[in-house]
Amino acid sequence: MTGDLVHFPLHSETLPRSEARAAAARVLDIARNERADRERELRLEDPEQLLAIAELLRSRLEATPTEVLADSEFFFGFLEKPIRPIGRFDEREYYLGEFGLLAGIACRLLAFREKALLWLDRAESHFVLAHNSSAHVARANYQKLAVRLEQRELAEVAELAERWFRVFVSLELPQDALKCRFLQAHALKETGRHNEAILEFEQIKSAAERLRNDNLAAIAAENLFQIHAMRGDVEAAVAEAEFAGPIFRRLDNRVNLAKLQVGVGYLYHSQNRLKESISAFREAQKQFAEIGMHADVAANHLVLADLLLDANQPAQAEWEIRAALPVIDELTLVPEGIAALSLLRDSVRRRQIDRQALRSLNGYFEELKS
Amino acid sequence: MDSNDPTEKNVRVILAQDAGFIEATLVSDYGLPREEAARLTKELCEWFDRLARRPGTPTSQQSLRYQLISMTCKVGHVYWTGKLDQQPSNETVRRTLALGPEIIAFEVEQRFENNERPPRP
Repeated sequence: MTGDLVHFPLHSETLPRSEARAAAARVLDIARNERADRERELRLEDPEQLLAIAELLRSRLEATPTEVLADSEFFFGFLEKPIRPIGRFDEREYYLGEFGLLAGIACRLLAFREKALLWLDRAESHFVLAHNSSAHVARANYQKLAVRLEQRELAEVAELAERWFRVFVSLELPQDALKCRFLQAHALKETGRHNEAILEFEQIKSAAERLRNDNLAAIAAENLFQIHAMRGDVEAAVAEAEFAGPIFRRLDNRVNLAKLQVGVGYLYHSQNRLKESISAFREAQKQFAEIGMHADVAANHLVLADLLLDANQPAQAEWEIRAALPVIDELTLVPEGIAALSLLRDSVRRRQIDRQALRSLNGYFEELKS
Repeated sequence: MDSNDPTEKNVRVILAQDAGFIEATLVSDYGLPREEAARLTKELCEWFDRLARRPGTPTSQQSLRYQLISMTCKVGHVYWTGKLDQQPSNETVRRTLALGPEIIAFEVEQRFENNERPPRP
């Protein structure tokens, strides 16, 4: 602890807590380029309002990740330069960390992985100077682990998720601990250990319900739905979808509603209902496009290409692949993914689609759809 | 604001019961003038009310209280760090500063749990 970390700011009246949330919503409604010019009027330095803004952005992550990213970047920039005293003691460092973390999560949802890691590092560099820093550093590291999952580093994720699970338990943060179990369950799902994954997701769903975390319970149900759908277990799948869907709609969780729609596509596919399956994937793709999740849009192009080949529509399939390739080029793929991409591109050039390369490449997107 | 939220209740209990203890710690362990201690206690309570609403903050009463005690000790320590030209003459305060805020926070928490008074200034 040094004298640099704890500020003794000048006294100023902060917004009453009862007014902060409405004020925060009004600030977020104002165009970003107008906010900085009106910083005094809008009380952008008010710590109570900043807390409410961070809370609002957190609640909107899975509805409008592109907007959350832009707003988090705005507030991070506003707080960073020029250096200004914010609230009491550690609050400036905490808010910088929190907006950095929100930007990192939004980037992760949008599949900007390198940018996500940079934002999470920025967040951590401020969190270490904030009070209760171990909890916030752990929160940032959980997000880094989620990025590793999307990079399909499954063995590492399984090991590290167990370690962070114990950290969160010892920090008395049961909801964060439960999220680590999520990553472990995902790793099981991605390695084809479906029975173990089902067991784990069921336990997570029950634990989330006990903690009254509806969103987490619904995401567990959505994963169960996907596994049951892939296996063609219609009754079990439908029951999970009926549990998750209304919760996602109530919470405006558009990211997971779109993922649920992907599961519908798999469910129809498992029943050999090709036409309905294609329609379901197209609907999911439309929903991903609306919230700016371009990697998921591309992943759906690949799935659709595969289905269209099944439907004897090679020209349409080729079109789907050509639509996906520019987006895939922008993503950081593991070497195996790059190899599959190269094979697929060559096969499209020859107008003879390499089905194996298509499925391999789609496999590297699997996490984006789960 | 949800008045039935257990964390909210814990925060209200801590702010109602512990503000005096926090001020006494600043005065007795850190040798702050009473007026300064009262001002900082008010700021600590305001800060704590927001801290409890940050994600990543534990919710049990004991853990929440420790967050407040811990920041109180950091603030007391930094008070003297900022006064480079003055060293405390009081032996208790010299010991407090030598041991550092983490150890003192632990001692203060123990004292609170045992219902003991802070040392005499």
